[in-house]
Amino acid sequence: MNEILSVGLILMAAVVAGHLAQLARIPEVTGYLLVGVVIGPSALDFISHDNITTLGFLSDVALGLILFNIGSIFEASTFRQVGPGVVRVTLWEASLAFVLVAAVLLASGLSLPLVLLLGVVAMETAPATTLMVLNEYDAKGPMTDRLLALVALNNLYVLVMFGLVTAGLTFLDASGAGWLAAAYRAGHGLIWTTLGSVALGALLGLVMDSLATRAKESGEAMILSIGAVLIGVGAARWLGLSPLITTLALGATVANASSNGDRLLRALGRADPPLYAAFFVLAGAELVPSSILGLGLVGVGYTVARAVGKIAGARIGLRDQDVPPMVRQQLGYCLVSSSSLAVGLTIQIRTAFPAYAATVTGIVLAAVVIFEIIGPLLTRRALVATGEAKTIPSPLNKTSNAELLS
Amino acid sequence: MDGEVTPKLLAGTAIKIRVAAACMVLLGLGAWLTPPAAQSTIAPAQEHAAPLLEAQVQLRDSARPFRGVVEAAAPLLRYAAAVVPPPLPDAVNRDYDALPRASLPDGFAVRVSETEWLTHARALDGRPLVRLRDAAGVERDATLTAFDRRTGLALLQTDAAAGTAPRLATDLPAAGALAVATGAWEARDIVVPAFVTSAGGGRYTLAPAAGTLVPGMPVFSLGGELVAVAAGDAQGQAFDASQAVAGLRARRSAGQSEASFGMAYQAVPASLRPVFGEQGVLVTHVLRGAPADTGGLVAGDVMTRIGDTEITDLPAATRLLGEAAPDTAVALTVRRNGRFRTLTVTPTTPFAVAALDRADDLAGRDAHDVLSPDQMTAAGIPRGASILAVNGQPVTSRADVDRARRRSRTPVPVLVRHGSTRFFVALDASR
Repeated sequence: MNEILSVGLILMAAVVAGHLAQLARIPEVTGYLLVGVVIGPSALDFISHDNITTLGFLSDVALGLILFNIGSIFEASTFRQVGPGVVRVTLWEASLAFVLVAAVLLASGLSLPLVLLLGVVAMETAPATTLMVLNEYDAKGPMTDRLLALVALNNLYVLVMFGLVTAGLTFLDASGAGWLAAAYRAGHGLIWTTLGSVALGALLGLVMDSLATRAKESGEAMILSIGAVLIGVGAARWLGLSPLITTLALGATVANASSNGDRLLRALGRADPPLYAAFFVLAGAELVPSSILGLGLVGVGYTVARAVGKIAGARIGLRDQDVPPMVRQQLGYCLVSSSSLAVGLTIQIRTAFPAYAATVTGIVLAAVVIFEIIGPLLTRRALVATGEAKTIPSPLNKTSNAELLS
Repeated sequence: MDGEVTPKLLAGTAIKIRVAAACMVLLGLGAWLTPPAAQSTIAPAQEHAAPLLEAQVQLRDSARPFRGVVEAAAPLLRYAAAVVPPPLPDAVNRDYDALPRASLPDGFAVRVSETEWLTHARALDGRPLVRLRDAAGVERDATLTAFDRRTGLALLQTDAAAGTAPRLATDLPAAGALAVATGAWEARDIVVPAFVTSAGGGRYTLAPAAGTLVPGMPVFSLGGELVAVAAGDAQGQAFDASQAVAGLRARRSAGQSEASFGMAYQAVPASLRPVFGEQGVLVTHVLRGAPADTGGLVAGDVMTRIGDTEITDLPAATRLLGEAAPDTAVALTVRRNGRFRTLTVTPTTPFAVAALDRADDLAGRDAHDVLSPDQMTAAGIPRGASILAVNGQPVTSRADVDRARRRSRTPVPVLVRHGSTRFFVALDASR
């Protein structure tokens, strides 16, 4: 099937999935993922692996837009209100997930480097999935305010930790090049990826802000926003930086530079639906549900330990913070989703440490299937339990249609 | 929005200009300080230079490398079958490493005739009876019929005839060429483009450009001919398929009657007799998880007796160890640090040993990092060798070597690794 037909099919499938999701009272993102599984190589194979590879740029664009949106959370005045508490929760939930996963894997007999790599991957929370569910239910409240910042900080924390772990393992593996050269290479990689990405995102954000004054029409603003995000993602790849941190920094800079930022974000919002839908359907198409069967005890331990670490870590982090008890109880459930960043880190591990590729791939990809399906459901449940879901889409029914017609 | 507008953090032209300038300086500095990429070990053959350059350009786009190679390899996927854990009775299973291997594809086999499949012992995980699942999802039981202990390659036989085999390569790739390994597992097609970094003597070394080489994976030339079968080890070894098939058909011996201990040994060098004694053979390598490892042997042990028979020299050791039978315990007397001890070792088949992971547990240091050229020459250490241990201790620096030499009054034993071979040499304590 050619790519144009694939994209059309993906979007149509997304429409159907959205309606079916409403009927089933599950988040739209879950519907998109499930329909992606159905039309993907695991089932009907309407979308083949080649299609997924070719359409990967759509996923890159969508992820860039999502992270740009999330980066806007770091607007200084807003962040000051929730910042210190959010940092504390991030440190607790991510670190506890790491510790519990590492303990379980060490007890299972895995080697330390493998345990460290899997532990870091386990820290991740999916930004895209979380944002989608919050948008769908028009969520507002103390838990929502913290959630977006949490997810952004979590991803930053994970990337820095991943850089540290891989730098350390690469350094220890180095032979023949001298320890000094190996240390320099590892250290430069870590610092360049983090600070360089922030600098690139900030620079692009300032350029975008200066051009925004001239983009008066909303159409122009949308073009400017999408163009800047694409340049951010492309330039980051070209320079060997992190597209994720770059687009986060881009969003944060735009939000902090001037009031143009709000206008740009609103304009971008109109381009989101098809790209987000395509992103999640493609993500679903890449899932291999049968991999769950091969998860094994180690994989089950990884999955359970990660979930427990996230939920318990969030609760511990919120202790002594002024939040409603229900928020303290439910926030951790919103952090269970795991997807694109975990998959991205797995791909990097496969390239950098091929000896661990098979084990990491087997465990992480199977766990991602589980978390991608249950994560949005848990987030929805938490939003409903805390009363922060302002809109619960009601399933279509003939009675309401009849009332409209009469 | 009503109400007071909160001033933005980066409001003001001056601060924006300062931040932008700082970002540009940071980016420029970071790019300037980026260390050069690690030296490639590929020595490109002249005629493959152009494709290599293009391939290196493709590598920069890490999201979609070698797309053309992957697409061209799609038809080759049908020749490989995944080795899946079969529902076999425990009696024929030899478990050397349980989870997580059990949850992953053990490896692949490639069809070489209507009923024959070629693979590596590591893909079979020591099992002589396995199940193969081909790209169409059809499962067949396959039995080991021949095994080559030199390469670890194994020939399997299935009952049902199905499918055609790929052409065996006649025009073999040289170092620097690009090859592609394939396999289909579950719903995934696995295509691994790989550079040939060395070729010769029926053996290849491959550097995967993306992905991982799994044991038993068929390696094809870009013309679609079967070149080799991958061992799936960290060294990237693969063995010539046409040579292997011919040899294995001639053997038709599963190697089940031979015994293997999973260790390597050498005669005690004359220069090291003051350290290791006059009699016996010196163990240089014990494979992790092998019978010798389980029995307690370590590199540096001197085997002096097998059962009740003394070991007089290297040929005697080889003959006596070769007389052992799989699964029959043998008493080995070794001298370690001047003391004798008797270890009970139960050998297994060479096929089962070949299935073990050969990753080295000792990292070692390049010899020229810790020894002077004169020392290397005097000790007979070749260029490119690594020093694994000096006087039984791991080496981290030249200081470790100097310390060992100062403390010893006899020649200092040095464990060296060169390629896939380990051996002991003597370092003079007086220098």
